[in-house]
Formats: sequence, structure tokens, C-alpha cells
Amino acid sequence: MANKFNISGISKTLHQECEQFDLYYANSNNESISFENNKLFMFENNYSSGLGLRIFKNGRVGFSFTTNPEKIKQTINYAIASANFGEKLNLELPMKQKIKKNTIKMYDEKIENLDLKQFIEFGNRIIKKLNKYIPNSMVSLSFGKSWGDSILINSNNYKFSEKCSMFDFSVSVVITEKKGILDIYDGLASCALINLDKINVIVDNIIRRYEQAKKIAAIKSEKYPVIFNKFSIGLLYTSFLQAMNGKIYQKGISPLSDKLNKKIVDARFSMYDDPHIDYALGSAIVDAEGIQTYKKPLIEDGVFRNFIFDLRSAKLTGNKSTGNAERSISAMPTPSYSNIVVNTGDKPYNEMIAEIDEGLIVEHTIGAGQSNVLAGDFSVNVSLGYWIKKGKIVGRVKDCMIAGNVYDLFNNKINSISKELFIKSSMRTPAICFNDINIAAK
Amino acid sequence: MKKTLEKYIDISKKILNFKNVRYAEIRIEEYTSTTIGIIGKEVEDAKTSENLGGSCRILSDYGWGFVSFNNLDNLEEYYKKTFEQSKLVKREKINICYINPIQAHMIMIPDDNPFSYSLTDKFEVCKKYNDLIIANKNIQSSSVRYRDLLKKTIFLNTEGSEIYSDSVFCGISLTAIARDGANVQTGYSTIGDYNGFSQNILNREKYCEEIKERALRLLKAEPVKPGKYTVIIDPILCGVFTHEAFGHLSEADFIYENPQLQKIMKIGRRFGSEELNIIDDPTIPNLAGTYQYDSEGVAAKKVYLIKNGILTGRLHSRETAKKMNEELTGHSRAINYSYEPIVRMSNTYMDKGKYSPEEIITATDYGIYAKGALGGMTNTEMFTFSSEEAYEIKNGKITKPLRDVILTGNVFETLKNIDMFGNDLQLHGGLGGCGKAGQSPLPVSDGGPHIRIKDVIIGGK
Repeated sequence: MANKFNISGISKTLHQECEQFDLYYANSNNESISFENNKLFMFENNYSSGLGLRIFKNGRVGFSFTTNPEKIKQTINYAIASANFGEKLNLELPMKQKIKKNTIKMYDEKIENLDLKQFIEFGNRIIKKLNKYIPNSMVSLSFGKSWGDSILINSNNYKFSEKCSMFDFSVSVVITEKKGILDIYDGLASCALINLDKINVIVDNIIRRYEQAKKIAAIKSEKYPVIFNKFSIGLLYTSFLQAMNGKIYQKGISPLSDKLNKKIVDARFSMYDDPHIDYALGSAIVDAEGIQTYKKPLIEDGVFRNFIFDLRSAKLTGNKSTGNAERSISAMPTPSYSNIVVNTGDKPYNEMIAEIDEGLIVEHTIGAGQSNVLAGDFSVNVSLGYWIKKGKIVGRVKDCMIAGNVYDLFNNKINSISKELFIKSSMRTPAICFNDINIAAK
Repeated sequence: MKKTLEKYIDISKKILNFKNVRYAEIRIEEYTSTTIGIIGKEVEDAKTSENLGGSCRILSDYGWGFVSFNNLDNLEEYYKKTFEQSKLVKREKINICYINPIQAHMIMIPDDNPFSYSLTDKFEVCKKYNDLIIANKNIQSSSVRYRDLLKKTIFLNTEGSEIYSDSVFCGISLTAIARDGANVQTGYSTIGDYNGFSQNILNREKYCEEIKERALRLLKAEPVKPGKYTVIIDPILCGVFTHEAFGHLSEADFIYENPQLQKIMKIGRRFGSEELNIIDDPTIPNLAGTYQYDSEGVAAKKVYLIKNGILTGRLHSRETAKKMNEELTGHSRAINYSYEPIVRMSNTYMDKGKYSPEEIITATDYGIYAKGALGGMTNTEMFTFSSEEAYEIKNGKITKPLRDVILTGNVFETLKNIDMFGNDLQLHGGLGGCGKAGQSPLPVSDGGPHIRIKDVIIGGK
């Protein structure tokens, strides 16, 4: 739908009203088809557009946003009023420049033109298959396409506009039995249209995962080796990602504040922020403040290499923006990761499992974020985890909690890192096996 | 409401007459909201914003179509798009409950309206509380968040209902974070509902002191030893348990097409002792989860989910009530115009019993007393909750403080294991809310009395 916001008019007013500003307009279109309880459920569309204004007046920052083009005047006034209480801040917003577009692929026009009707038949086939192989299964599916454009303009006459697109698929299978409820899920998302074969692989994997989870394995509270795979490893990374965020650093609460260029974990572990992967969800040419993006090591051979910064957190800590600003229309920019890439190891995933005498593979958890994540603590209930006995998966665990500290795990307890790289939304990671993790069972 | 949104009423009525559909509704909503966030010594947020949007939902023979949008000038076009989409869904015929048309104008605006205060007034209050919290060298960080929301809505449907509403919500949350090395402890307090500025926002100095002291006290607490315990939980934690662990299972959209879950959640089945009563009631005045009509234009009703230990009811939308042949309850809610209504809770609580909290503690030889909730999560039958503070109980007495107490368990077993109900029912709303199917936070309140539960698994660090 046409942009009803008069952006050049708004810029003109802002030039007169304040010292500096940047304005972020986004128009986004989402269409999806969903299946629930084994049946086609609904077509759902969402067409949204709006504008966020960050202004600098009398040396302070102010902000407001609106989705209502008739309330522009009011929104500018709100932003100015907001600056009365805003932080004292003076940023060097990027200057007018020519940015080479299309160097990283982020938009696939096939998505915008995709007819979701074709997924009615495809979805029904998937449900039939899952129902056939998984007794009493309740399947939910969704296929979605999104596309849109955004414009960033600032008081230095900098202007950058871009188009984006995304295709996504998600599946969840719930099996209700007397002994409990089992929920297995997965999904896939990309800025390019996804080949249907990849979706079929996910579906086949769900069936395989169900086979492995069918039986319930009895376990005792003890320390065991534990494998975190692509579904669960992100839970552990969260502590690092928070600690390396420039905003946390600027607040003085990062446990990594004094650890730059020091060894913080096992030398086998390396993690990067890479915004330049074609069609990856977190890719970008410039960030949400107009700063050019680049690939950077976060942890390299166990050594902590970089915080990520937006303009504000960089300014307040005497650093340079790392091109990691992210924003929506409704909030000021904050530092955020693009795509997280973790280096693989040398252990084939199958061998990783085969070498365990007694231990756990963690897949789905509930309760993350309830302990002191920033300090590295985790304590979660394993809602789907497979028990390994003599190198073989023997069933799923029930009523089981795992707990530990990620700095301890990644320093002292890495057993092996998988040779395979797995993609989970904007993250590319191997599976990792740790020794001696506390498991509390009923 | 009338002034700004009025111009969309006639066009909406005209559009709803267009097509021969089985059911259609149009919702148009306008919001003005102020948010303030002070974290430690930094002002993160102090803004007012405007939001306007709408949505159409249509049921044709076989399925639903839903479209939401910001550009209201294209209302007619979007309605047509919704209609075309609803026609694409082909499955067995969907039936819904129809009701008589409703003409209503709901108003939940407190006398002491936060919108009669300036941004400066609101900011000064937040700043004062934040200064109070951080005025202690052992308090490492603080957080004060304020939010108010002026909401004007129009609801029109093909039954001929016209429901308008104007409401003003406001609330505040206060957090104190104390730190000693790697030991970080949190004190937290929140309030949020339709009771107005002076009741919810002013004079909360006492709470600032309380959370500060609690965080400091927790620094000295011993970490809990993981294991199985008899646990006494306070009204706040009981509310979170009631909402998270049991309430979600009463939402009929989980059940109505799942024969296995229907067996588990069979009306008439015993879930606990005679004293166990769980209720959802959207009609209690001015709580966070209070409303008169839901997002499908159905009148809200008080529902006994469990009465005397027996499952007696559940929460319904027009579709789930029809399908399960049960009474409409008016629990289909959308957080805003960009989402379709889904079955949700409102004000959910476990009813009180006969014991005083002191009697429950005295009757307990060994166990844990857990208070307040820092978070909670469930996946249908399993739950985990972290309590804000906890104590060991020995020989009927509260003894040493414990920290990092995270409770986990199976809801059905846990409900059966409740063996004492307190007489001190309390309900709490807050700035947060409930999340489901990507719709978060929906304002709700929850509560209960002190209760005692046997055999709860506590996971520590």
C-alpha cells in the first residue's frame, strides 16, 4: 500500500525544530496460511506501516512514533517534549553518502509474488504423513511470506532505503498420552524462497525425533555428559551475547567488561557476528543508523575480541559503532547481533552420541531466563531431551531439570564440538557436548 | 471515542452489508500511550506515541480470513481481501455461536485519569522512586517503568452489534538489583489496572523500600539444595501457578479439536481435593483483566473452572463453545487490532480455604516457603516458576532465607498435592501480562491464597 507519510515534509519540519534527527519509516506486509489441529485453519494478513522519530534538542535525545499519518504534527511535538527528559547525548550521525546496494542478497522477489494457495495441498500432505507415522498426533503448520521496505533519513541528508523479504515455515506436533504430553517442533526461515525439499526434510526429522522420544527413560539425579544441539545451544549462548552487547557494557554490568582480548573460554570455541551472508535473516548492508556493517569475531579461539555497539553505546564508552544498531519504528536503536556463526569442531555428530555411556541430548527446554543469565547461570526444565545409554538413544526424559554456569561449561567442560554446522534462524552453529552437567530428576 | 473514530462507523456498517457471509466483524482501535523507563542512572525512555489501526475477520462456509492494517482509508479493499481469503479455506463447515445484537458503550476511565497529568508529572514520580531505590551503595541497579494507555475502540459485526469502548489503564513496575560478586538478587513490585493515577502510581515509596530491602536480604540467603520439598507458596506465586499451570489448560482452543486432551480435561473429572476451586472472572471491577465484552462482542462471564475439586467449566470463543456444545463465556480476546481474537484468561484465581497463613506454616515440619514470582513458563502439563524469595521451614517455623528457588512439576500431580488452602485471597495485575500465540502482553490479573503443596521439585543452580 502506498506510503501515506509525507517523509520529506516531516524532514523539513524536523530540520527547523531540532539540532539533529533520524527518522525511520517501515512498511511491512505479512501473509500467512496456518493449519491447526490437523486442519487448514486460516489465512491471515497484516499490513503495517509507521514512523519512528529520534530527535536531538538542547543536547538531549527525544523519541516518538506513530502509525497514524494524521497525527504527524502531534508526534513531532511528543518527540520534542520527550527530549526534555531524555538523556544528554550528542551523536555523529552518518553523512550523506553513496552506498552500494545489492552487494549482499537480502531480497527475493519470488517471495512477494508467491501464491500461498499452493500450500493448502502441500500442508495437507504433510499433516497426512505426520498423522500416519505418529499416532494421536495433532499437527500445526504455518507458511508465511513477508516483504516490505524501510527508509532511514537523518539531519545530514543521509538517506538509505531498502527492500526485504522473508519466507518462513513452522511445524509443531503434539501427542497427548496418559503418561504425558509430548511436543515436538521445528521451523525454517530465510530471506529467499525455501525449496520445498528442505521442508520435507524437517518433517521427516520430526518423525525420526518422535521415534526416539516415544519411550520414557528412567534416570537418576547425577552429573552426566550433555549434548546441546541446534535447538538448545542458543540457550547457553544467550549469556555471552548479553555480556558482549555494548549496551550492557556501557551500563557497567557486563561480566566481560575487563576481559577484552583475554581468554574467556576453551580455545576450541570461536564465535562471529557476520552480517554478510546472502539471504540470512540477520544480514544487512548498513545498520539501522546507517553505519556500514562488517563481519567481526566475538570470541576467537577462546579469546574475547569485540563488544557490539550502536552509535550511542559506542559514544558513551569511547568506542566506534560496529554497525550493529537495530530498531523498529516504535523504539530507539539498540545494539543487536546480525547472524551468529560458531566454528565447527572435528567430531561427527553421530560419534558424539555413540561415545556417551550414559547422558542426555537437550532439544527443547522451558524456563530459560529465570536465573541470572548475565552471570552465566542457567536452570531449565528439559521438555524434550533424549536419554543416551551405551551410545544409543533409548527414549525421552521426564521431569528433569538441568543447571549450570556457561562460563564454567565453556571453560572446563567442553567434551567435543560437532563437525556439522546447523542453521537455526539467524544462527549457524555446531552441536556441543559438555561433561559433568547437573541433572535433577524426580 | 466518537470524535476521532466516528468517521469510520458508517463506512464499516456499509461494508458489513456487502457480502453474504456467515459472520464478519470489523474492529478499529486508536491508542495514545506514555511509557517511561529509568534504568539505573539512565533515562531509557520517556515518550508518548499514537497508534491507529483496524482489522476485518470473516467466516465463510469453511474457514476464517483475517486481515489487519494501519491504512484505514483502504478499509473496503481490505474487507474484500479478507472475504476472498476466507473462501479459500476448505474443510468441514465451521459453526459458531450467534447472539443477539448488542448496543453498548463501555467506559473504564478512572476519575483520577493519568492523561490529566503531564509527561513532566509522570516523569518526576518515576525519577523520585528510582532515586529512592538506588540510594544504597549495595544496590547495583534499579528499574522503574511506567505505562499508561488510552484506548478507544469500535466493534461492529454482521449480527448488528455496535460496541464502543473507552478505557485508560496505568501501572508501574519497580525493580531493585543488589549484587555481591556473581550473586545478583532482585526485588520486584508491579501494579497495573484501571484504578487511576493516584491509586496506582502515587505514594509507592513504601514499595521502593520493600524491594530494596528484599534484594539486599536475598544477597545473604543460601542457595537452595535441589530436591523434592513440601512447599508453601504465597498469593502471588499461587496466582502465577493458577494462571500458568492450570488456566491455560482451560482455554478451549487447546482442547476443542484434540480428543486426547478432551479426555484429560473432561468435565466432571476430579483434579484435586474438595477445597480446590479455580475461577476466571472478567467482571470484577477495574482489575487488569477486566472487560465487559470480549473481542468477538460477547458478554464476559464469571466461570468456575474447578468447583470443589471437580472440573466444571472452561473458557470459550464463539467457535469453541459451539464445537464443544458448551456455554459461551466471552473469553475471546485480542491484544490489539493487528491480531485475531483467541481464547484467553481474564482475572484468574484459586479460591480461599479455611487456614490462616500462620496455621499452614505451623503445620509444616519441614519445607520451603516461596514468595513472589520472577517468571513462569509452561508447556501444557509441565511448569517452571522462579520465586522471588524463599525461606526454609523447620518445625513449623520460618527459618533461614534461601535463594534461587525454581519450582517445577506436572500440573495434574501438583493440583492433587495441594493439601492446605489459606484464607487470604488476593489478586494482582501488573505492567506485564500474558503471552499466547505471539500475542503479548495481554493484561490479566491472577491470584489465590497461601497454599501448601507436597512433593514439589526445586531446581537450584
